[in-house]
Amino acid sequence: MARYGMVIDLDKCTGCQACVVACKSENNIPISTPEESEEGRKISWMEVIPRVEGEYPHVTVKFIPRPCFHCDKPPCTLVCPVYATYKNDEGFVAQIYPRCIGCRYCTQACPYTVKYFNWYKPRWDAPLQACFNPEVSVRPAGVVEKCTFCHHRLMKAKEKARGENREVRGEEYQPACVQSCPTGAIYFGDLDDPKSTVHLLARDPRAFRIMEDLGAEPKVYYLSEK
Amino acid sequence: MRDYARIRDLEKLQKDIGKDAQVFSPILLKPTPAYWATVLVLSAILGWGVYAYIRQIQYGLGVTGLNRPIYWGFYIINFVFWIGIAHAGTLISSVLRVTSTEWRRPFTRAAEAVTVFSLPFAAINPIIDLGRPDRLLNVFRTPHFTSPLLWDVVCISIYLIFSVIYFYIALLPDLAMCRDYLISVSPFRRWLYKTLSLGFRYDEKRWKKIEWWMNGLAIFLFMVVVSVHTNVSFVFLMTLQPGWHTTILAPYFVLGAIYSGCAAVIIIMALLRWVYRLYNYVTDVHFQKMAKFMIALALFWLYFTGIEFLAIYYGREVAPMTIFHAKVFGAYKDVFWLMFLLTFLIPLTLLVIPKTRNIPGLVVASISIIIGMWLERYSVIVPSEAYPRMANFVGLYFPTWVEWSITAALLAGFCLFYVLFARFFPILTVWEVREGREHGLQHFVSEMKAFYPGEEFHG
Amino acid sequence: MKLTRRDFLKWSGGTAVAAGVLHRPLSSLLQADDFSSEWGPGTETYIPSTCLLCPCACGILIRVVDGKAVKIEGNPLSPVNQGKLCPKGHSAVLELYHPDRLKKPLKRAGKRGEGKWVSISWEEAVQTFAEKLKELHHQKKPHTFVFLKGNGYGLTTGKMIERFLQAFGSPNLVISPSRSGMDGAYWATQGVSGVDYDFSHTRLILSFGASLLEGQKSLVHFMNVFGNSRGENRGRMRLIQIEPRLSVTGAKADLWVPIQPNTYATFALGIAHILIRDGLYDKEFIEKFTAGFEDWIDEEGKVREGLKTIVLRDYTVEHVSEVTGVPLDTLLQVAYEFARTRPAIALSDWNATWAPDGFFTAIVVHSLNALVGSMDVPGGVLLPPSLPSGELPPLPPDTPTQAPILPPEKALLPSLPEWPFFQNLMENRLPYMPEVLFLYHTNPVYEYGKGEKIRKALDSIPLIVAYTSLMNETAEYADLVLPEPSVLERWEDVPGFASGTTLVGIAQPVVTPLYDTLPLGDFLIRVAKAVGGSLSSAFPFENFEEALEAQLNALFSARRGTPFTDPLEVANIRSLEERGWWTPVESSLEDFKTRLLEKGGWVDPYYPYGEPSRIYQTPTRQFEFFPLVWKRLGIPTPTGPIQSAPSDPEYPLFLLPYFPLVLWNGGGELPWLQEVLSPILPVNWDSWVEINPETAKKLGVEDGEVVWVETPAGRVKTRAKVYSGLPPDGVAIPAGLGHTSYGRYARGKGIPVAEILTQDSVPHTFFPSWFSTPARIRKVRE
Ligand SMILES: Nc1nc2c(c(=O)[nH]1)N[C@H]1C(S)=C(S)[C@@H](COP(=O)(O)OP(=O)(O)OC[C@H]3O[C@@H](n4cnc5c(=O)[nH]c(N)nc54)[C@H](O)[C@@H]3O)O[C@H]1N2
Ligand SMILES: Nc1nc2c(c(=O)[nH]1)N[C@H]1C(S)=C(S)[C@@H](COP(=O)(O)OP(=O)(O)OC[C@H]3O[C@@H](n4cnc5c(=O)[nH]c(N)nc54)[C@H](O)[C@@H]3O)O[C@H]1N2
Ligand code: SF4
Ligand code: SF4
Ligand code: SF4
Ligand code: SF4
Ligand code: SF4
Ligand SMILES: [Mo]
Repeated sequence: MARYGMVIDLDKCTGCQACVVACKSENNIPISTPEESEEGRKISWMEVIPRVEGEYPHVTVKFIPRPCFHCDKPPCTLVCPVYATYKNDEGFVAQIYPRCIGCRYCTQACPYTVKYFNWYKPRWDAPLQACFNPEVSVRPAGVVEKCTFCHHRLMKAKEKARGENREVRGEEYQPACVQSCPTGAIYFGDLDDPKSTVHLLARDPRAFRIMEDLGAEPKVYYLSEK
Repeated sequence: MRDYARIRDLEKLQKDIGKDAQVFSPILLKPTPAYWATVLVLSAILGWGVYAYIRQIQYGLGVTGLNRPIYWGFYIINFVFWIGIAHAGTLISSVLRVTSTEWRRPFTRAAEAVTVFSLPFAAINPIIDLGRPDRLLNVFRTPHFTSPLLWDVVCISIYLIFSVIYFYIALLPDLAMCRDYLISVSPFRRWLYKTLSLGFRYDEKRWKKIEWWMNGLAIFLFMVVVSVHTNVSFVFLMTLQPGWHTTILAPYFVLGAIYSGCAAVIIIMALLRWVYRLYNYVTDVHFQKMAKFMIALALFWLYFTGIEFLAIYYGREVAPMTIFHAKVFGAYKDVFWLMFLLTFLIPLTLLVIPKTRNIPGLVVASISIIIGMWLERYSVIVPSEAYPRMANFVGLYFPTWVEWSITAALLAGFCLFYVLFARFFPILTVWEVREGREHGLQHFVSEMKAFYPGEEFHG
Repeated sequence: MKLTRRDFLKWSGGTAVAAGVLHRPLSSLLQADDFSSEWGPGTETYIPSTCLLCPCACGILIRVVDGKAVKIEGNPLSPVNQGKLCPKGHSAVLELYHPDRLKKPLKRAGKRGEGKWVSISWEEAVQTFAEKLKELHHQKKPHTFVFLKGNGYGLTTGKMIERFLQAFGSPNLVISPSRSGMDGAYWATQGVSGVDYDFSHTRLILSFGASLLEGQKSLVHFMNVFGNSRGENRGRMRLIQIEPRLSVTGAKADLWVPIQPNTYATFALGIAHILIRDGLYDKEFIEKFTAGFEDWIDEEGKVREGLKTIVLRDYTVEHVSEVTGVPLDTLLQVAYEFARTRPAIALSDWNATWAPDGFFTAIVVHSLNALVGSMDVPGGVLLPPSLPSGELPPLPPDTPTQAPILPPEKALLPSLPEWPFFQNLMENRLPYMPEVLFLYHTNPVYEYGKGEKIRKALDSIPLIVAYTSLMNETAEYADLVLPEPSVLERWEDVPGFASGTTLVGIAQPVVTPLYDTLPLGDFLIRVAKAVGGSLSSAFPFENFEEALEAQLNALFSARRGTPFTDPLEVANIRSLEERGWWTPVESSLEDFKTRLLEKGGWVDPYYPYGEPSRIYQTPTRQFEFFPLVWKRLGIPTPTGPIQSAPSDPEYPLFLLPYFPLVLWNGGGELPWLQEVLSPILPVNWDSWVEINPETAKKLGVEDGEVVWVETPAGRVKTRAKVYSGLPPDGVAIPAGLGHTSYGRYARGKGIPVAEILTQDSVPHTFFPSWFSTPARIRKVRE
C-alpha cells in the first residue's frame, strides 16, 4: 500500500501563500472575520510560517509551509477519547467530524499545532456558499479539523482507476496546495515507491523533518535552503 | 406551636444523648435571614452561570476567550482545581479513620461533604468545555482506551460513586437519629429521613457491618484518591507540550490537591464552628494539628516546585525553557509570583509564627492557599499552551464574562449544596463523637498499653 | 459562427472531465449544519479561461459543478503559468460570488456621494449616457468626454474603448500609471512602449528593488522559472536584490544588498563605472547598437559628454559606496558577477521609479542591459512581435479637433497619465473642463490618497459614469454606476507575458451571469447605436462577441502559432517556425475556434531574433544612453545623486510603502486574501507599520502597539510591528488597505497609506513620487 507523503523545498518556497488559499478553496474552510482572526480563531489547514533571523543588515527570512504532517506515529490520535481522530490504513491521520466531541485534546497533543477547532458555526455570506466543493463536508461548530492531504482527491483517483481497471498511478493524485504552488516547492507522492520523486528527495542530504527528536515521524519532509 | 414542638424534640434528644444534641439544633431551629440571604445570592450566581452556559451552547465556544493555541482555559483549570478540592475530604477522613486517629471524629462528615459536593462541580468542567456536549455519550459508544481522558472518566466516576457510598454509610446512623427524634419537622423532612435512613437500627450486627464497610472503603478510597489526581495529571503529562510532559506532574498534582483540599476543609470547619457555634467540638487542638500538617504540605509543595524547575533549567531544551522563562520572568511572571506568594510564602509565614498560628491565622492561610493553588493550575496549564513550538505567534488568553460567570457559578453551586446539606443534615458526625465518648478512652488505654509495656497503665 | 452561451456550454462539455459518481457528501450526515441542501447531483466540468485579477493573464481551469464555479485551477497548457496559480487567482470565485456585487445599473438619487440610488434598466442607462454624448456632439465638444482606464480586461475591450473615443472625437484616453514605472525608460532608450524579459533563459537577475516575487506583469511565470532554476532541472538563476527593506524577493534572493533609500541610480552607475573601467562591457554591442556612449559633437559643434566620460569621472567606486552605503567589496562583487554571468538582466520597478529621480533611475538601470549586451538575446531583454490583430472597418475621418486634456509637456509617454490629470483637475489647471468622465477599472479617489480633494474636484464634472462590479470610493461619487459581469461571466482576450512568447489567453463565461450585468463592449456598442452617426458606423457589430470573434479570426488567418497545446508540441512548432514553416493543425476556422476555447488560448512560441528595427525605434535607431536622451528631451544632465536621505529633523525616518503580493492591484475585497496579507508578519484584515527593533526600542514602542505615523502630508494610526528587515531609519507600511468602500471585506480594514505619501509628480513620467516621504512615529499615549 502506498505511503503518501510530502517534500517541501524551502529553497524554492517564496511564501506566496497560494497553497494556503488553494486549500481554503478546495476544503470549504470557513472565512474568518477580522475579530475572529485577531482572537486566534482563523482556520487555515495550510499555513506559511515565517522565520526572521538576525539583525539589520544581516537578516534572513525563511518561509515554512505547514500542512498536517500525517505523522506515522501521531501523538494526536492516541489521546482522543472517542476515536474521532485516527490513522487510517493509508497512513492518513483523519478526523471523524460527526463523532468528535470537541474536547480539543488532540489539538494539545499535536506538537506542531496543526489542528483547528470550530469555535462557531461556520458562516458564509450568501451567495459565497455557491463555491463549496461538494466532495468535502462542511464542519459543524464544536469539532476539530485539519489538513486531510486532500483525501477526497485520492478517493476520486481511486474511483477513476477502478473504473479503468487499474491501480492509481504515481502522481495522479495531488493535493490542491501541491497542484497550485507556483514555484513547485511542494512534492507529493508515495514515499515507499523507489521511483517516486518524494522517495528520492526524502533521502536528499538536504532533507529533514521538523523536530524529528519528538519521534512523531512526520510524513512531511523539508529540504533546507541551498 | 411549631416552636414549642421543636424545643420538645430537642429536650428529648438532650435527655437521650446528652449535650451532643446541640449538633441537631441548626437543622431543627428556624433559619435566620442571613441563611436565606446566602441561599438567595448563591442561587442567583448559580443561575447566572447556567445562563452563561446556555449562551455558550447557543453560540459555540467562541463566546469564551479560548483560541488557538490556548485551547484549554478556565474550564480545565477549574477542573483540576476542583478535583483537588475534592481530594482532601475523603482523604483526611479515610486516612484518619484507618489509623484510628481520635481527633478526626467530629469533622469527618464535614470533610467528606467537601468531596461529595465538589466532585460534581469538578467533573462537570470537562463537559462544559466540550465543543459538542450533545455527543458526550460517544465516550461510551466508541471509547478509545489509550486516551487519558477516558481513564479520567473511569477514575472520577469510581471516586464519585464510592465517595458517595462512603459518605452515605457514615450518614446512616445520624439519619436514623433524625428520623427517631426530629418529630416536629415538616412532613417532607420526616419522609426524607425515613427514606434515607433505610430502616437503620442501633444493633450490634448493624454496627459491625458499618465498621467493616467504612474501614474497607477507607482503604479503597485512599488508593482511588491518589489515582484520581494522578490521572488528572496524565491528561497533561501524556502530551508532548513543554512544561506538561514531565513525570513530576503526577505527584505534584496529588500533593497540590491534598494541599488545597485541606485548606478547603480548614475553612469550612472554621465556618461551621462559627456559624453553628460548635466551639466545643471543633477546637483549637484540631486546628493546631491541621496547621502542622499544612506546614509539612507547604514544604513538600516547595520541594516539588523546585524539582520541576531545576529539571527544566538543567535540561536547557528550547521549548521547556521558553515556558520556564515566560512563567518566571516573562509574560506570566505576575501570575507566577503571586501564586508563589499565596501558596507558599504567606501561609508558611502564618503557620510557622506561633502568634499567628491560631484559627484566624489558619483561615487566612487557607484562603491564600486556595487562591494560590487556583493560580498554580493556571500557571501550569496556560503558559505551556501559549508558546507553540512551530508558530510565529504567542497565544494570548483573555477569559470572557462567560468563563468568569461559570467559574463563579461553580463556587456558588458548591457552597449552595453545602449550605443546604447543613440545613437538612447534622454536619458533625454525631455517632462517631458518641462512639468516641464511649470507646475513646478504652481505645486510648489499649494503645498506650501496646506502646508502653509496664504496670502503671494497669491502674 | 456566433459565440453564444449554448455553444460555450457545448465546447466546455467537450473538455469535461468525467467526474465519476460523486460521494454522498459527509456533511449530509451532520447535525447542526444546514448547508447540505445546497448540494446538487454533481455534474462536473472543467472550463478553461483566463484570470483577470491582474494583468499576468494566467490560464485557468474553472471547476464547475452543477452550474456553480467551485474552484479555480491553473491551466497546465498556458505558457504563462503552466498550471500554477497565485493566491489571487484562486479567489476569482469569491469575486464572482461576492455578496456585495452590483446587481443592476444604478442612477444617483440623492446628492453626489450621498449613497442614494435607484435601480434602472440597461435601456435607460444607455439612453442617459447616449443623450449626454449627443449633446456634446451637437455642442462640438466631443473632446470633453474623458475616459479613465486601469487594467483587468482584454485586448478587444481595450480596442473598443480606443475606437469609441476616436470615433466620437475625443483624444482623452487617460490610463492609470504603470506599477513598474520602467516604461519611460523603454520609451526613451529604445523608442518602444514596452519590453519583455526572458526569465526562462537568464542566468542572473540584478534587481533594483523590483518586486519580482510579489507582483509584476508575469508573476506566476517568474515564480515558476524561479522554482525550476532552484530545482534539479536546470542551472541556478542567480538573483541579486538591491533594496533598503528586506522584501520577500530580497529574502529569496541569492544576495541581498541593503542600500540607502533612493540611491539606486548611483549604484547602477557605480556598476557601469566598474564595467567600463575594467573593460568588462560588451564592446561589440555598444559599437553596433548604441548611441551616446562615447563623447560626440552635436549639431552646434559642441562636444557632448557621453556615458563613458560621465560615469568614469562622476561615479568612482569610493563615491558610489559612500553615497549608497554599500561596502566596496559588495559593490565590486555585484559588478563582477553581473559582468561575468551571461545572459543577465537588470531591471527595476516602482520601488525605484516612483521617486524624485525615478525616470533617471529607470533609464540607467535599463542601460546596464545594453552595457552587457543583453538586448534581444536569449535570456535578455526581448520585444515580442505584436499579436495578429483583427481587421476593423476603417474609421470615418472624423478625427479629434482638440488637443488632449493634458499640456504637451506631460505627453512624453505615449499615453495620457492619470495622476497629472487629477493634479491639474484639483488645481483647476486643465486647458478645458471634462463634461463626461468615464471610469473603468480605476478608483482614483482611493488610489491617490487625496480622496476629499479629488471628490471636490469631481464636483465640477457634469456626468460621471463608473463601470465596475463592486461599489468603490470613486463610483460612490458617480451619477451612473454600471455593473460589469465578473471575470467568470464574460468574454475577453488577454495578452500575456511569458519570457518573450507572444500569447493571448481567452476568458469565457463559465456560469450563467448571476445578475443583470453587461460587458463594457456591449454597452459601448449599444451606446454607439443610440448616438448614431459616425459612432454607430464604427461599430458594425451586434454585440461584443462579434467583435471578439473578428479578433479570433485574425489569429486563425495569421498563419502562425497554435491554440495552447502541450509543451512538446509548442517546442516542435517553434523549431518549425524557426525554419520558416508553419502547418495548420486545424483545417477550418470552426475547428480552430473550438480548440481555442477548449485549450484556453493561443501562443506563438517563435521569437524572431535580430530585427534591430523592431527593437530600436529611437531617432538614431539605436539604443540611446541617457546623455543623448537628455539632450533630445532638452533636460540638463543631472550631476550627482538627487538628495534623498531625509533632511528634515522633524521627520527623521524614511517611509517605504509596499504592496504585499495579494494586495497588488486590488485584493482587499476578497476575504481569502485578507486572511493572508503578509507572509512575514502575522497580521490579517488590518494594516501595520514595520519598524526596526532598535528604533522601536528607542521610541519605546512595543510590538503590536498602536502608533501614529506622521508625515508632512498627514498622519495615520496603525499598529507597529517590529521587523529586523528594515533599516533603523526606515518604516514600511503595506498599501492596498484602508478602503472606505469596495465591499464589506475591504471596507474599514486598515489604513490607506496613500494619504500620508508625498504626491508630487515624478518629473517626466508623472507618477506620484511616493518614495520620497519622510516620516516619524509618535506614541498614541505619551
Ligand atoms: N501579485 C500581483 N501581481 C501583479 C499585480 C497584482 O495585483 N498582484 N498587478 C499587476 C499589475 S496591475 C501590474 S501594472 C504589474 C506591474 O508589473 P510590471 O512588470 O512592473 O508591468 P508594467 O510596467 O506596469 O507593464 C507594462 C509592461 O508591459 C510590457 N508590455 C507592454 N506592451 C507589451 C507588448 O506588446 N508585448 C510585450 N511582450 N510586453 C509588453 C512592457 O514590458 C511594459 O513595461 O504587476 C502585475 N502583477
Ligand atoms: N496609488 C497607487 N495608484 C496606482 C497604483 C499603485 O500602486 N498605487 N498602481 C497603478 C497600477 S499598476 C494599476 S494597474 C492601477 C490599478 O488601479 P485600478 O485599476 O484602479 O485597480 P483596483 O483598485 O484594483 O480596481 C479598480 C476598480 O475596478 C473594479 N473592478 C474589479 N473587478 C472589476 C471588473 O471585473 N469589472 C469592472 N468594471 N470593474 C472591476 C473595482 O470595483 C475597483 O474599484 O492602479 C494604478 N494606480
Ligand atoms: S504556494 Fe509554494 S511557494 Fe507559495 S507559499 Fe506555498 S509552498 Fe511556498
Ligand atoms: S502533525 Fe499533528 S495533527 Fe498531524 S498527524 Fe502529526 S501530531 Fe497529528
Ligand atoms: S477534539 Fe475531537 S478528535 Fe480531538 S481528541 Fe477530542 S474528540 Fe478526539
Ligand atoms: S494537502 Fe490538501 S488539505 Fe492538506 S494543506 Fe494541502 S490542500 Fe490543504
Ligand atoms: S498572477 Fe495574476 S493572472 Fe495569474 S493567477 Fe495571479 S492574479 Fe491571476
Ligand atoms: Mo498595474
